[in-house]
Amino acid sequence: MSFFGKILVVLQMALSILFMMFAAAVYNTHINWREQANTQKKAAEKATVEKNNLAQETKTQLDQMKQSMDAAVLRAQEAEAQLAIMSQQFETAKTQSATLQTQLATAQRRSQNSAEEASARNDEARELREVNNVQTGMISEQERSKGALQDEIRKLKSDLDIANGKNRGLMSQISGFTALLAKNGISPDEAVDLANAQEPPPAIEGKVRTVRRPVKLGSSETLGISLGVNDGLQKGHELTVWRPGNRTGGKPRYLAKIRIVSTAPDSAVGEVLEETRSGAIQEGDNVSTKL
Amino acid sequence: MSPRSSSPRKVKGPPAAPDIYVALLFVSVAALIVGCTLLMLEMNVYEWKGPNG
Repeated sequence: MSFFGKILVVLQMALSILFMMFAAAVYNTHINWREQANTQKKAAEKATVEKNNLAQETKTQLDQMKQSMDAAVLRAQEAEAQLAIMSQQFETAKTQSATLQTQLATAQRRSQNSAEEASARNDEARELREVNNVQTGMISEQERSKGALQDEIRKLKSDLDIANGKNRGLMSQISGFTALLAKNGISPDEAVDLANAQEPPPAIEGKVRTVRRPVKLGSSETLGISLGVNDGLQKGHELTVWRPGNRTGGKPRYLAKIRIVSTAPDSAVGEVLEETRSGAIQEGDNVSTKL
Repeated sequence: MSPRSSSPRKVKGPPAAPDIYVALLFVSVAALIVGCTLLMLEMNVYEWKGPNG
């Protein structure tokens, strides 16, 4: 064998061994790409199915959501319409509420005014009732007084009738007496003075009210006393003026005598008889018909 | 193989004794067989039917 043949044999052996090593490496490190492809293909199909399902589901959900959204939009529109209506109703109710509040305030003021007026009228009625009661009492009392006065009037009329009858009798007697006095030359006043002087005064006692000093010489001091015709005192009567003793044991003191010159129903004026004077007369001194 | 000679005449001699190179050729054949087998197994995975179909 030539040298070139030997080199080729060696080279062939080396290449064969190298081929075997590559084949072994390929066999040991091989990957089943077909299986991988099938697996990937199945996965792709599955993913496609899932994608379709998801798309369908998504579409369904989208449809449902769209329907829900449409329904929600419709509800929202209805709600907006209702809101607008309710807002309008609220405004109307608010206006009515304000009006009612105003009316309520007015009614309360009227009620308060009515209550105050009723209270005032009640007070007024109570006062008028009291006044009415008082006036009723006064009227009844006046009725009683009127009845008593009418009785008294009737009695006085009867007394007047009687007195008129007596007066007529007395007037006829007076005319007879006057004619008789004129026949004897005596005036009626002198006859009265004589008659009064002859009639003694009753036993009465009074007080000196006023003392009037004499205004000119020759005239006497005059006294105003608390006795009058009602006490039986008449013109011409003589009374004694005296001063009672004091509380420390003084004795009563005689002052003077007076003669009545004019009379009134409850008073009289007397003239001091200077010849009987025993002391100065003061207001408050006693006067009496009999000492 | 025979060395190049000046005459084309073949000289019959005793059969040549197998040497190391023949052994190397057998090793090469074995390596080729192993390599082809491994490749066939690899191709069998992809349902390879062989050279004839």
